[in-house]
Amino acid sequence: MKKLFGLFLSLITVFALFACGNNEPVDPDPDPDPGKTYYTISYYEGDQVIGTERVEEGKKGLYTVDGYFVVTDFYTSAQGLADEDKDAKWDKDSAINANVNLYAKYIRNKLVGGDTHTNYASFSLSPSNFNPLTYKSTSDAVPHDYTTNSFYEYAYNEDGTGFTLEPVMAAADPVDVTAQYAALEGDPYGLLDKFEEDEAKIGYAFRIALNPDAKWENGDAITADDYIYTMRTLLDGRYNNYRASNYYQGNSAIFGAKDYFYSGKTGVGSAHLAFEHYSEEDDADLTFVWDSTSEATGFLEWLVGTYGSYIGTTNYPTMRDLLVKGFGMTLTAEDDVYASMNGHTLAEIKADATMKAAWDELIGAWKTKDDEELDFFTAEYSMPEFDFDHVGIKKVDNYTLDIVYTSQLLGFYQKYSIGLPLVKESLYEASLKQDAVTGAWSSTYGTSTSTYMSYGPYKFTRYIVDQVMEFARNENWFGYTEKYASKYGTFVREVDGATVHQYETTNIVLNYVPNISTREQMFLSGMLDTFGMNKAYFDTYGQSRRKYNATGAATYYGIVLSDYDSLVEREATLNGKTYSEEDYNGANEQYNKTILTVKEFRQALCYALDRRSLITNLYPGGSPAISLFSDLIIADPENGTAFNSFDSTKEAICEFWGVSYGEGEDFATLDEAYNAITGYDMTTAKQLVDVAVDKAIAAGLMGQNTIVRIDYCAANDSETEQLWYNTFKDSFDTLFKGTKLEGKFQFDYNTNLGSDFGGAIQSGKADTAWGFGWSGGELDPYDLFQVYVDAAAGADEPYQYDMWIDRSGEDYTIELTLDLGDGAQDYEYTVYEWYQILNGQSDDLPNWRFGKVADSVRAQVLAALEGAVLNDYTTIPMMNQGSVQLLSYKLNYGKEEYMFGMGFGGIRYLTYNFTDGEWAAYVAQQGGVLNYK
Amino acid sequence: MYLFKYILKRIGLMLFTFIIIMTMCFILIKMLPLPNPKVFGQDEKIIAMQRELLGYNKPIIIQLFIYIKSIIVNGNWGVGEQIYTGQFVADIFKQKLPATMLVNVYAMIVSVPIGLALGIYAAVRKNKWQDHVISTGVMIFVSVPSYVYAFLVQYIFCFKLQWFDFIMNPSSTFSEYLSWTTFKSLIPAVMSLSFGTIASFTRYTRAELTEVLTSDFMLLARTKGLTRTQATIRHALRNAMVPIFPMIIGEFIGILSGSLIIEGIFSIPGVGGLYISAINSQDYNFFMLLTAFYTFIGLAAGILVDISYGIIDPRIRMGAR
Repeated sequence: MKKLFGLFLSLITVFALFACGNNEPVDPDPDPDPGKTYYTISYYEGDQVIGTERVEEGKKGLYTVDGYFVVTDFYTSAQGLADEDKDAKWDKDSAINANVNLYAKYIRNKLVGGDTHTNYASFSLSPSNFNPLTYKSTSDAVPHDYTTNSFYEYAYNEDGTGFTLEPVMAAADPVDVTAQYAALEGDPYGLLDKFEEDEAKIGYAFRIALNPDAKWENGDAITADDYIYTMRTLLDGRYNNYRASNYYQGNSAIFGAKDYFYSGKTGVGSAHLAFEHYSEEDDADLTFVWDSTSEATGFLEWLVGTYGSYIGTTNYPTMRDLLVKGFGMTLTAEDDVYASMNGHTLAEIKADATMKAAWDELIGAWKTKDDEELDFFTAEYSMPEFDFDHVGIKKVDNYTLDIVYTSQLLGFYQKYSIGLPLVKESLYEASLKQDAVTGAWSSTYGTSTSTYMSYGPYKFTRYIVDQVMEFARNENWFGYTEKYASKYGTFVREVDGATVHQYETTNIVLNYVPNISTREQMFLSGMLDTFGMNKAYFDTYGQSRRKYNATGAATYYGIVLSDYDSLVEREATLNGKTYSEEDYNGANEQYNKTILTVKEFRQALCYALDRRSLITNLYPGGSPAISLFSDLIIADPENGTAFNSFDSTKEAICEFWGVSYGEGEDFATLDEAYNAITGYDMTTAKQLVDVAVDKAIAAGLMGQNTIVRIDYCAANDSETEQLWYNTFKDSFDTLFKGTKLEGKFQFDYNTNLGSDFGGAIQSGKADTAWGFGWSGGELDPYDLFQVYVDAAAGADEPYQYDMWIDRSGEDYTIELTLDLGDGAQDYEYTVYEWYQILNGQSDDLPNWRFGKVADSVRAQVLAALEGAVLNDYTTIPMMNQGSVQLLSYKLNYGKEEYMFGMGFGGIRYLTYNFTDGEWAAYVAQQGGVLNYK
Repeated sequence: MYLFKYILKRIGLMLFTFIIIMTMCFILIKMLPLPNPKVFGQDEKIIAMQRELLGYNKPIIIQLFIYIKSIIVNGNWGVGEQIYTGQFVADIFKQKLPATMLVNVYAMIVSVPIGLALGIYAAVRKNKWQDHVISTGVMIFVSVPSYVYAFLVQYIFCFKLQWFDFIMNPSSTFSEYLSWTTFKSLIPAVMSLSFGTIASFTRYTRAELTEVLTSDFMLLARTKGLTRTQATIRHALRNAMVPIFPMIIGEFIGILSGSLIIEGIFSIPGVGGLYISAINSQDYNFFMLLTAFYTFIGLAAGILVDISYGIIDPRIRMGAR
């Protein structure tokens, strides 16, 4: 027993010794070798020494004074510095053979007590592989935000109202050299086929002047060779780099990239890989695929790539169903016939009468151009050898690259799409490892600080997976040099109008803190600079002045059924009767639903929603929505102007909400009027109810004592759904008080329709459903507008929720006066036709999509269309998507409003009210816990 | 000699069992469908080609041979495909295991002596007020889950009193892990883990010791002239330790498995969530490595516990006929 206790005591002692073993303070600057001679370089700012450096005799100085400041030049006298006297300028290559006093020229004007500005943030999902060629998740890409730059990056536009894309790793805007490449003998890039004979040859090939000042963190210059090496490695088929397809498919596909990636590869895949053209001679090599789980055929790849697979859904359980219902094809052969063809070669299919008939029918309905027979087959492919020299990325000189794309890039989308990754060749080569057993390659690049090299404003100083990421200023980043002072120097901070520096942050520390309550406590203790809240924290911090709302792209809206036939049918069911629309007389019925066909009634529902209250109760991260698009939606991507910023948009919204401005009106200016809209007007709503009731009675839709019963359609009977229902019910109960419907309105809670409640309201099986929204399309609201006007779009799940309304009908004709360059003229089209025009799908006013028409004109048209949709009051905007965070007192954002592309300004515009030392003292002074309530 | 043969036999059986379990797991896991490689905007064929290269499309038995060969030839347990993508799974595991081990070792060092001491004290003071106080505390700490303490400990000691860090001090080297800073940063987690373990040991020790203390041989020991303390330490405690010691060893085995919730609250980058993540994300290489590790540890622990009986109580002879 004694031994046992002895063992425990020993263990305790050993661990205690280990635990205390590393408690000795470490001298960060150990004594130099006593056998050598050292001199001191003293750095001065005015009369004050702001730093020193010990240098071995005969060696060069490192010239690093403070991480916060970047010294561009040194002068041996203060006067020399003031005059920028060339004779007094210190040569940094000089060997140090005596003590030296140097006066430093900074691009930062003010040294803040020699202290640092550290940005403390947290992450709950650690990056584990930030190799630009193989990373997978968005969390893996977090280090790229700090350590890399792109050719073109978002920056605030001149007046700060939007964004622009400015050259960063590029020296200038791209130069279109398409004509030059199209003129090459033999048209090696296949450009001539892409143009009509007399069409301007633009948009495919670009010359990028590289920023000659760009350097790796070790000071090596970044040249065209680095980009070429990276792309050659990325697209090397041996490595199967996950990010290769970023550059060989989609809008940014580089010519020949896919051919090079697949060069020499063999396997079984889409028949298009094996054969360029269909020939009956190859029938025996083509294997038919009727298996929706396979994505090897051209058809399935296209289907999945374009829509995600619909097959297997309720509406399209089989491929045949998809082709017949989704594509409108006529196929008489049953699905089992096609299923029996699965796995057979085309030669075998043609040899069997039944299968041949089915195949002939299928291809007859499907084929619109040559070689589409290949769409349904797989084949063994052996890809031809393709040399990297034929890939559309060319080094012109050390600092110039040409890139040839397979898709046309025009206007804003040039700078938006042009970009290349970068890896440091020496590190990457060392990181590659081939498995001796399987022959598979792997790379450890970007898995530690030693296997990664920065070329952005910050460099890695520490990385431990699932623990911490630390970054410090990359002193070799060109942006800190004086040459770029005008670009990356000062800016006017919005919150107080102060002129402050960009990139004030000297260090960034991101800690792994997966637990939200831990994050909250750390934030309150001053250890984190932001705290992203969920709903549970809104009661506590909802009124904080340090609360920042980040707007999302989606606008959530409700749908109100207004289709007469559907409502009559639903009302009949409710009253336990069966009658046709012709027999219908609502005045005799106990319950009514058809009042929803009266526009004033729907308008009253819309006005009765106190959107601010909805936000508080239902979605504290969001913001009230008064239109179809959130403030994040950009209508003019060239300068980042939000659609809601255009006067034409504001006017349409003001008109919709009945808010006027000008002399004698409630508001003096358009902006005042627009900003005053809350979407809540209970007084008018009540008046509208009475008007609607009168109209309904007059039209025979209901009697004096009829009870209006409409339902709230929910996906399930969850606590959240009940909260939503009760919130709407409270609004509507308030609405009907004191109106002709007081005591005669019933709002039913309907959970019978399950998760397809969207489909239910589309097919007239529900009266109201709330909470629809669309994300994506942040840069293209013209395209996004499809969801409001195109009932046919969306195949399995149509996009348009009020799809009983046909906005291509004459009732939806809109006349607009537009100046398209030849003077103001009137143009008249239906809403749907205008939508087609906006998206370049009309022959009447062609080619609007690609910048032939100013975005202000397109926005004007879209505003009119938005007004037309809103004016139906079947689509009722409620709230905009968003998230909320608290910002530490330590920091200020560059802008107070969240903006697409810029956020609140990012690390570039993050500024500090305290240095790290001052902040620690401040937090201590506050008792260690800060108050953000 | 009997014991040596017994151990050899057990090790042989252990390896046999280990191979059977691993083979079964490998075959079963390979019979499951691979995670869908589809990601919007990416060419899923890249993943398919890599899988082809790694032999994922070969017959399972061939895959098993490739797997074993890779481990033997390269020490390569594969790379993560769904989590820690592209990273060698063994490297990740090695990086994450020390944090889990450290916090659990500290917790054991704290909880075993305290638990035993309180248990002994409660047994000796049976039915006195000291026993009632300890037993009540035991009931509370056994009943309440450790993450509840974790939140309380963090709130009181880290947030309000500011005695300790909220999260574990980032560590990657041996000296960093064993530094005072890291130790101090782990104290809240150690406290949270220890409360339940202390209570558990206290209860078990008290129960065993109470039973032994009322045995006839204890009366004999006292009649021989031994003091109560002598009789308790020399005879009672030794007998009571026969079932308790394997429990301690079992707790040490638990050192290697992390606590998902505690590690989450104190940001300890351990292996607590790794198994669950591997299963949820269908990362089969991680699953196999973790299965191999914990299976081996479990089997080895079984042998260790069995042998420990003989060490605690010489009357128990392992392998003797």
